[in-house]
Amino acid sequence: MGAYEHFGSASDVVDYETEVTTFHWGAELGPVRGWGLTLEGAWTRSMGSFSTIDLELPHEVVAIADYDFSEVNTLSDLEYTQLEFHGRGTRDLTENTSFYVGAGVVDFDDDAVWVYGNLSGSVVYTRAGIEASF
Amino acid sequence: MSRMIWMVRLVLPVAGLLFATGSLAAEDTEEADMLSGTAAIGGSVSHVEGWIGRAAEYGLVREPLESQLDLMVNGRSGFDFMEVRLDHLNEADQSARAYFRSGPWVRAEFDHQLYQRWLDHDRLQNVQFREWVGFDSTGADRGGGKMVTHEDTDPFGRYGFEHSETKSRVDLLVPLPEDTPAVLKMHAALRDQRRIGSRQGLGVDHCANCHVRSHAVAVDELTRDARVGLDGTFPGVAVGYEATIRDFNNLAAAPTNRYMEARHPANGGSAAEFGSRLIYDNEELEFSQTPDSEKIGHALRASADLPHNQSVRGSMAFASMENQVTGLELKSNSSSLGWYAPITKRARVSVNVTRRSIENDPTDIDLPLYRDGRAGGGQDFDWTRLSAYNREEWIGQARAAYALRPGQNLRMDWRMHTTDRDHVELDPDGSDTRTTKNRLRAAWSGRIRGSTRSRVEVEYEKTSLPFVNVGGLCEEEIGGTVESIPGQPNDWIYYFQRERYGTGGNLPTQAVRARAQLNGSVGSRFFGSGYVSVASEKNDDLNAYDFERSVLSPGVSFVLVPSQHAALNGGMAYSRIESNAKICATVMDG
Repeated sequence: MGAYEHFGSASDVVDYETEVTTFHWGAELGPVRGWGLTLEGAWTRSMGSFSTIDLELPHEVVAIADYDFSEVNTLSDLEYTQLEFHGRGTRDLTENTSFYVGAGVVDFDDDAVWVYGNLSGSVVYTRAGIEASF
Repeated sequence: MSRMIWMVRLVLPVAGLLFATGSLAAEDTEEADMLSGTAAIGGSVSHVEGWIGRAAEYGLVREPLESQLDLMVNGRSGFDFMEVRLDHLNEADQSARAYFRSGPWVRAEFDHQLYQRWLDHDRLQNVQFREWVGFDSTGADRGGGKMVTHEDTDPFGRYGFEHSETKSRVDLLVPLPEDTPAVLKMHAALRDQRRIGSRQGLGVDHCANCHVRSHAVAVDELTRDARVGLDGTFPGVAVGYEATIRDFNNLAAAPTNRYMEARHPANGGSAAEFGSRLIYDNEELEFSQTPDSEKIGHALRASADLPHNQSVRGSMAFASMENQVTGLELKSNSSSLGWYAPITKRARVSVNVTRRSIENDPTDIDLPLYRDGRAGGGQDFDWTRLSAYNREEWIGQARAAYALRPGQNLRMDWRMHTTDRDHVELDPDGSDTRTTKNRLRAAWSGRIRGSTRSRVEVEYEKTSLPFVNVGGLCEEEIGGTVESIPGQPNDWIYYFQRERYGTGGNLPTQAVRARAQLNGSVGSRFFGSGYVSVASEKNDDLNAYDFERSVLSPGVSFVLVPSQHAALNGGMAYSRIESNAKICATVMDG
């Protein structure tokens, strides 16, 4: 039975960086001759990453523990992009009633699939109806 | 059944208010009476691809045709006013709000929100590794040593819960004789929160196979709050009291995890030896449970006007929260006193002092003897857990504002915050438990030219002994031999003999933060604004590394109104945060 040695910790100081960029826009047009239009949207990109891990071994004799950690940092990479767009149009039918139709899309793109699996997904919706005021 | 109860609770107050409105409209025929609103009915069709937990984190998206109902009604009669709003999309996307006011005497509010919240599902794929033990005949790496593994008992599980929150509040003006120079108001409020669904729970074996097992865990939590209070306003003096009681009930069945039989992590043998090092193994136990709790609180506040437009304000609050399973109790106290005064026509100052304290019951941890019955074993590691919550805090703040000239103001404030934790040592070289943070902030705001305004704020913060994990990082080397345990070889090392030396943390001892903002318009059709925030923080009192964090966050936005029938808006925001941390990986042989 070989000796049970405890060599202490291999260690490194790593940097972590997060970056979030968002653009948003919107427009409201009308009412013109009974027509109205509302548009809005946003684009967001979120990223997070560690610097390369280069563990300094605590003891020269620990050759057996000389694992390669150079790719480990990439396993925690986060990179998400979300694009959303919503629109709604209205048309007056009478003085107190109007018809509306709307549509939208939210698209979430997971560009660094790891911890939670692939989180990519999208929702597209359409809606229509009648609104009355009294 | 519970859904039916919720719907009844939702409909009754709303129906009552609608009935009241009908009476108002029918009985009052004066021109001031008014009943108006909007109603929308329609349908919605959606299409979903992939996982919607992020694309629609707060929504239950149904692909088939869904009906949509939105209703808003408001009415006024004399001094009475009411408003009702209802929005319904599906069984997990509803809201209702009702508001009623009868002159100064009665004000009643009801609010109900129901929505779906999706949760993540950790795939655990990073928990999968086998120790390298050599090379095979082809020269390739050969695993076969210790390992970490994972198991997902619900690999296709999609987790989330339906969150409902129902709030109601009534304010009453207490009738007093007409010439009484006082106003008395009573209020009572209720809030129910319910979360029903599922989440991910992780059961972790240690010293068996470093095995993490994922389970679907039922969520059924009910939190109920009730508040009653009395407020009085007298000439120059105002006082108020409020009592609060909160019950948290975990109604879900406790999840269980099968903890594997302890054995050697590589060869599967030595079960008796490894089992003797653990508190439990080879049995199914409950895990990941939030206990029921009850909280009772009292709050008292008072303010008084002083000569020369000065005033003082004070408050006291006490709360007690009991864990209904263990009987452990946490008590908190807070009190504050503030003085506000205009010194001159251009200058005003304020001073506040606050004291807060938390006392949490200790609890005895009764452990079986370590390696009981084994050679060199029998160590008793029973201990008493003293809570890290226990603390006394003092917060002092002084503020001064000075009007340089019309439209331009200069503000200075100094804030000192001390936190003395009873049982958490923060100094790696001593036993001090007190954090002292001083912050000095200066801000200027004013008009630069025309409608262009700006605000610039700079602060410097210095902290002595911020919260850190003393001796919590990186293990010391114990190569060769250690003090031998009777009956054991002198080069065998057990967990309780290992030591850590590194002190780490992510709170700064020094920080400089600044923010600048600029707003302006061009004519009457364009309005724009921009800002930039920066921060530089560091802690060089750690022994394992120097912590640093920097923040850069600029943004711009605009509104353009080219005509009375068009409005455009847009903007951009950016944020970059850089920080560092120490990573440690224990290395041993055996």
